Amino acid sequence: MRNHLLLLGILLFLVVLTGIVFLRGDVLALALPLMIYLGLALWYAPEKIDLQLTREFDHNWLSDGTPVNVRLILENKGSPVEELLIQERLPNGVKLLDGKLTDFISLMPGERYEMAYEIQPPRGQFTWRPTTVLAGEMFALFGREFTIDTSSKLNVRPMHYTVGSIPIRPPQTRGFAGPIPARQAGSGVEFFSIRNYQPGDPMRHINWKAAARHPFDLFTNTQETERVADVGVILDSRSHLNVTARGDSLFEHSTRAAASLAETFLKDGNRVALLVYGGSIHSVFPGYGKVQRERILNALSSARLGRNYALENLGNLPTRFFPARSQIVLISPLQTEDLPVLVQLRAHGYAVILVSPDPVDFELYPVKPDPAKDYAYRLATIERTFLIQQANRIGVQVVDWKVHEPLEPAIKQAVRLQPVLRRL
Amino acid sequence: MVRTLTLIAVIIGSATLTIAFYVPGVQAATIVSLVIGGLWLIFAWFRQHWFAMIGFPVMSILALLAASQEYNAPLSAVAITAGLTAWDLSRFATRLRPALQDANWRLPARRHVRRLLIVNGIGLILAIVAMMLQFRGSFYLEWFIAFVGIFALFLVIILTARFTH
Repeated sequence: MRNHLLLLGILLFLVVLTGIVFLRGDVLALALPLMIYLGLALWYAPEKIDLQLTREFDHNWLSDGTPVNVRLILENKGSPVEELLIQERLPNGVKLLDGKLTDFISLMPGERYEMAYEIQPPRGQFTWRPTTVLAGEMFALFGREFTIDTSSKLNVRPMHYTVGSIPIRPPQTRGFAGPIPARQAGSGVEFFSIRNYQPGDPMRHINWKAAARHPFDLFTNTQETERVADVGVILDSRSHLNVTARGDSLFEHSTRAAASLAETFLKDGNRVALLVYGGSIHSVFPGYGKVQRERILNALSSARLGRNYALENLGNLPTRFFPARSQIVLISPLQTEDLPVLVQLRAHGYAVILVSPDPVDFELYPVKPDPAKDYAYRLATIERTFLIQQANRIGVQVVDWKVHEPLEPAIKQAVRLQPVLRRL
Repeated sequence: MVRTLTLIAVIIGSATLTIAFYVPGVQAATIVSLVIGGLWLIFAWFRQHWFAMIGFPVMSILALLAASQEYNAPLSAVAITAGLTAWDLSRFATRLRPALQDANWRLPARRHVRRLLIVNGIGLILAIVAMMLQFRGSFYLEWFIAFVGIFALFLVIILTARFTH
């Protein structure tokens, strides 16, 4: 704008100067259109540009794939602005569904203008870049371009599936009552063992069959107490294990599974921790309840794939982050090099559930090649089956999850089919 | 609409300058007028609006030359006004470009064109009227006008600085 004004000023000066030098009135008259143009621009130039911008979302916390309506409200608290060009810039990855991001308007003092658009953001944490505004008078000689920062943030959490209570049996439970059988006698529903009768035991707990076999002794039934447990959810975010197909990423499904499982375990009253293992290690310390749920979902919304040469296999997994003999849920497509780590976890006394999204099926879905003809598919399938069998053999409960199928039946089936190891 | 008007303004400016130089037989200036007009038309057609920053000064200088050499002052006034119109419309098109895809730009564009044509029309009429009603003033009066011009230029520079920072 300054260049344009300068050009016009120089031309005007040149015309006036030439008219004076040549002592010609008709040359001086040539300056009149320029002078009127410049004078009018000067007359209408806004004295004080004071624009206030606010951005509103119809909800701040949402799951990926949910459309969001955004309202951009601009209020003029200064002089009249004849020409106002607003350019809104979306954060990377956010898709515009409806509406406009640019507008060209006039705004009188005290007037409000509202621009609305609809977006569909993927999972992540998004910060809006400052809005560019070009404000000036009708000939844009005295206007200026500036940005208004409204610091809007949107947190898009992973979409989570509905998963009912999962019957886990970790070797160690915590002291509070919960849904998990604790392998200890106490108040509960399920039969646990019998012991000698002690004065004060309720009559209805006496095991009459055992008493009949021992004429001088009485025995009391004991129930297995039910407690809450420590559950550690590990999300594998190593980029070299990820598969993308049809614009979709296997990691997104893993993230959704992690969110769903964490929510289910927290709903059951367990203490849940999260560890995202990939480009770096990001952790959420163990905790209970809704606050912990928020922490975990926030951590998952910012989880990104990454590559770190130190974390290429699960060898550097900080196992002591999780309480001893607790339940670990590992969500990973898994590679052969990770098996020794699973063995190590089992050896340390952890109960391990491996939720493994099937990369082979994900990549080829919905077309399944004929294994007799497609040797690559056959080899990949055999390799994966072998890997899962090996994991099963070391006592890991493996959920071989085909991501286009619901997660809950796959988990329920895997956890039910696996024999529970009572002694480790 | 904006591009069409830009093209019309360039054609008018270039044609009036060509006539202004062709009638007295100034071949070189005629060719320059035609060339600059032609180039500006091509650039405007392909929406290369930056060329207006070259086309408008060249057209104004040619108009100034024609008027100072007493070839045809009213045609020069038409040329300088047409050049100014084309230059403004090119700048407007540049500003409007980001909004073309999304915004309802027709209304502000129509309003801008209407105002521009009124302002430049008044400017042209005043210039032609001033050319017809010439009066001879003293040397001191002309110096006074020059000082006013210099003062106006300083004012423009100061205002530019104020609005830029």
